[in-house]
Amino acid sequence: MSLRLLLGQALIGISLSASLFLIASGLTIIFGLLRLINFAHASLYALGAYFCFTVAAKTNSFWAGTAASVVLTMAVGAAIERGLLRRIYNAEHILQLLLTFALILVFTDLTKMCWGAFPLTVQLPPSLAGSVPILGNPIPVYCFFLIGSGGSVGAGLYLLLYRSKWGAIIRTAAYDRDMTNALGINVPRLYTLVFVLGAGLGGLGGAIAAPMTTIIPDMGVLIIIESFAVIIIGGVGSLAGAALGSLIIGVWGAIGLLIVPQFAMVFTFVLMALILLIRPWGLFGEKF
Amino acid sequence: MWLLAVAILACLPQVLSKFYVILLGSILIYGLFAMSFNIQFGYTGLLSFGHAGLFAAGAYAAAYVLKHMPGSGISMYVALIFALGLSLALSAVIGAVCVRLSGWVFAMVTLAFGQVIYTILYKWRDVTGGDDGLYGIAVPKLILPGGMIDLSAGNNHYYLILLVVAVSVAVMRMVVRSPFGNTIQAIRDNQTRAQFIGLNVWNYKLGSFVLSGVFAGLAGALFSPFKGIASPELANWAFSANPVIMSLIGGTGFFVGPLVGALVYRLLEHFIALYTSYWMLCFGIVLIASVLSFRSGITPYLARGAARFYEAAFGKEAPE
Repeated sequence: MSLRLLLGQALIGISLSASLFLIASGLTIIFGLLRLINFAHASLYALGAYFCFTVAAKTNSFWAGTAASVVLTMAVGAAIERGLLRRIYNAEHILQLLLTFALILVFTDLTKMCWGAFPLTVQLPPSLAGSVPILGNPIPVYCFFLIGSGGSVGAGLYLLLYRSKWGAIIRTAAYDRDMTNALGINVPRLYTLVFVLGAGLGGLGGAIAAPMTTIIPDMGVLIIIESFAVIIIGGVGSLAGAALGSLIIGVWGAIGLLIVPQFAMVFTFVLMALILLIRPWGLFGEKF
Repeated sequence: MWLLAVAILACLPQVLSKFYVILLGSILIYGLFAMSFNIQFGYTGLLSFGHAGLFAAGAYAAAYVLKHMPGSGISMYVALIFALGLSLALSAVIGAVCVRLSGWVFAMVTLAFGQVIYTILYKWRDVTGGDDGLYGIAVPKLILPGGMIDLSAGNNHYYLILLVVAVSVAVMRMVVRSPFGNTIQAIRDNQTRAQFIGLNVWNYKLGSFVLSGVFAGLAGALFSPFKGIASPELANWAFSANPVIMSLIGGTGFFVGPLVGALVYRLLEHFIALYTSYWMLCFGIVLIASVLSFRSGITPYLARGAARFYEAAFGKEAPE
């Protein structure tokens, strides 16, 4: 294996990281405020890809499809939060986990009902087709688009959470919910807004992943497990952790694909298990 | 009470058709699977979304042995022992990584490990048969002290399952009533206090995880010879939903709850399958409803009904 090939694969790994980051950041900001791991994020991701497929096929534009997925998954997210999760915020955590897990079952079958179980594909937008040679490796233009999207979403979330008034409010509410409520901030509405934002990130992740994967009802569960690895390695609830974790998982996974093509996933989880043995709370997480 | 239940289950094949005997056998296996899950979930407070991985490990271990040494009278014993050993080893390794993690992370990491087992079964074609699975497993003969019996004849296979499940349930009952069982329930109720009185909670949690994993593996080892196939779907995340739903339907706070849940669940699944192929949708809705409303499951209602029936029939207070 030459160094040139390794570098090319690492670059592709970084673009996978960017795609993972979109999903993991949604999970992590929801956890940061709501203290809830949303297993149904898997379904929002899959729905994002399906919405993108349908709208892109109708309008012939990938961009319209992406925009529509973000809006529609946000609407689904709002319905989940308002209709179901709100009822059990004060219940045991285990019930919340079960509820979001049950949602995956429901959504997986609903997508099967609406779109069938056959794999679907979305055409690459013409402006992003083709590849450029980097050090002699042909790297698809789409990889750079993914890296750009992941980077800009990361920067946007950083500005929102740490450099804006809204971010200060969100962090305060995460620290002490009742006190923030007493200060006159509508915390239940803030929960909905953050959940909807996270859901939209999941949908965006699904939409822009759509052109480079096959769309199947199970796709969400397959990627969500890698995103779990990301936020576990990085530390649950930490944005920086999600960024570093997705870089580690993306690049490690891409290189694992070169070394043990059949068992790249196992390769990834061995790393996760090792990190957990040393730091069970993750690289940037708080001890719990 | 227990003997009565076993006696009824032993007599049922005499009155049921072959089809329902097979359904009943699979209900017993699912019941064992769900009860093993509930040792972790109901008794220790650990919610695993990857329990199917251990079930599948047992199923594949048994299928592998039966496929490679068919015909001999001891092959079923070897299969069961190999399945127990494999699920013991796997749950010890997975448990060692997982038990120190808190609720959320524990659920995520067990889901991940379940999918790792699924991937291995799916991709390691030489040993596991890939996406075809291991099929064409010969129904074994069994050497008993009284002589050789043929499991394919009559309802013998059903009786073997009943025997193994009944013994396993008895063992699990002993364990949850032992000091160990009391300790894991104490840890479930308040881990910090349990630590303060000097208990090594990680070892107890690991013990519970391994115990639960071994019985899941045993259930798997009964499953593949009975069905004649072990396929990778047994390890998939959707299969891990089974014990969760069965335990919740039956009630996680009751020792036999998951077994009752398995009965209701499998019968429902059987009838739902006649009308629609979207069982995940149906059970997702059942799961949401049970999370939002009846958290105790249906077992206490059934028990109250049975007690009332007993009082009406015999005119005295029912035993527990």
